[in-house]
Amino acid sequence: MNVRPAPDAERAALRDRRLVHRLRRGDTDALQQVYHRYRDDLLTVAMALLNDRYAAEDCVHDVFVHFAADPADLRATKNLRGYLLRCVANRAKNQLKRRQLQPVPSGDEQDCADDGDCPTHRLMASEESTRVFEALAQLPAEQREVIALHIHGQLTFREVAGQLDLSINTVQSRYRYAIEKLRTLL
Amino acid sequence: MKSPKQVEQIIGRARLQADLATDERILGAARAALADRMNHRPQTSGPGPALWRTIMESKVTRYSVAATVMLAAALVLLNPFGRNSVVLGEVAQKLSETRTLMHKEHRLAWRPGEDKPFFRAEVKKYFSSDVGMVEEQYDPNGVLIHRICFIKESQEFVIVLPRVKKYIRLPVPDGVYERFVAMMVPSGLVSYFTSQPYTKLGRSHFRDFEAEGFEVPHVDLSWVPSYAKYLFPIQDLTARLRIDVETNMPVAIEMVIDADRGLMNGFQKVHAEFTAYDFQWNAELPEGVFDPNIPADYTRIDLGSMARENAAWLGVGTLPVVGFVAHRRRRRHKTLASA
Repeated sequence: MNVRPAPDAERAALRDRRLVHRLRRGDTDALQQVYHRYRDDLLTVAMALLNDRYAAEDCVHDVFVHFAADPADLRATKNLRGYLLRCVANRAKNQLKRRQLQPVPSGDEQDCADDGDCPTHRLMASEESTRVFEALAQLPAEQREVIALHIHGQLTFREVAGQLDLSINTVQSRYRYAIEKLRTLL
Repeated sequence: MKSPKQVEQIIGRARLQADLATDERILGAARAALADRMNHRPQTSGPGPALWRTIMESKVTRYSVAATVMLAAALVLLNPFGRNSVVLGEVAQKLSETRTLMHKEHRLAWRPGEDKPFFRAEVKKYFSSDVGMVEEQYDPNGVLIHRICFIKESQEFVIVLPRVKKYIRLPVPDGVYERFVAMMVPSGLVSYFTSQPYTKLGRSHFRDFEAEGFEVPHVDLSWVPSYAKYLFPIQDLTARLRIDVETNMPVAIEMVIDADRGLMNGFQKVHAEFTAYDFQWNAELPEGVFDPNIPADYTRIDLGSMARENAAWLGVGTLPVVGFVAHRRRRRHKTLASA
């Protein structure tokens, strides 16, 4: 059964398509609007997946640079938010795979000079947020991914399943296991 | 212990927020990338959008044309000249010293008896002997048609098809990756031009270069497997190389192809011409260019056992299959939707 998107979602989709259209014509203002609209969501998802602020910022940086250099066609961006989230998730996964990087539980405490150019000082997260990201880092990557996309990315289970090429049952069971584990950690 | 609902709420409150410096860094780089793209847009000329739209609305040609030119390119890249004798020695030596390459390619295809090409595409290619190869093919409006990645590290072959929002991943059997990429990176080009007897075309102007031309007519394709000939029966292939007389480096590689009726060219005769140009040797490649970066809403095509068995013919076997499978699946979806 097809579920008709809510009018708000339709308006957002239309607005995004207009932005992408303008962006394809080289409109920097459109680029800025896309960035400001989605940067915090993308940073949060990247952080939830990587638990490393340097890597999270680099990940979002790369996604936006790639997006600006080669905006997807309009059909591919019916859901711009989902598209960008997937880009971030893919890049984060590639980073983890490439470097065999296991998320560092204490990602907030990496040494860096106390200057304004250090992401630890620039990116802001509350103490509670830091605690949550550390707890997420203790989950297996596949559970963390489901949590990040469903809760922080605000995607439905069906959308998450589509993005990860999994069945909806698998996604839901991963989510349940993750929440159970997080209940003991938080 | 907190309830699942409470845990969800706590997780949902966790946020990471950027400040002005982060904004400046990311937006600055993105703006620069946007400006760079606008400054290097492929030139569109001739009967562009309208013609392209007409072609793409044809169910038969929609994917088979794209697959056809990809296949032809792959055939040529695999072994266009054989490997017998050494000619163009100095050029070969120079090419062997390069590690990376960026270049563009213009692709055109005609039906017999027609003056205007029914297919046009601009291609960007990136090679690195250390990382692999990426090809991006754009339509005359600058819209991406396909992106093909050969990834050395993961030993896989990835094709992303934005028009149908699909992608394919195939592992590359041992030895095949090296063979295929070796023919595509600059050092591999050496063997292209160390080959069969060629004809000197003399000097001519290609863009801003004074270039010496060499031609290998009727390239031997007897090594092509029979099933590939059925898919895309190349009748004749001529390759030309144009060398800048000042630098002794290639400024153009041209391929002229006549193909008979085959499955992947929609059972129509095709004449195609590819011109590779704007070579940047040892270029600094764009960061992340080898990352397949598959969007969220793309679904994977499983080519099944047939393609895997034929993976040894990557570039010959898989490329047309991609076009065919995408075409068939799209038709099936449409049929189901209209039922």
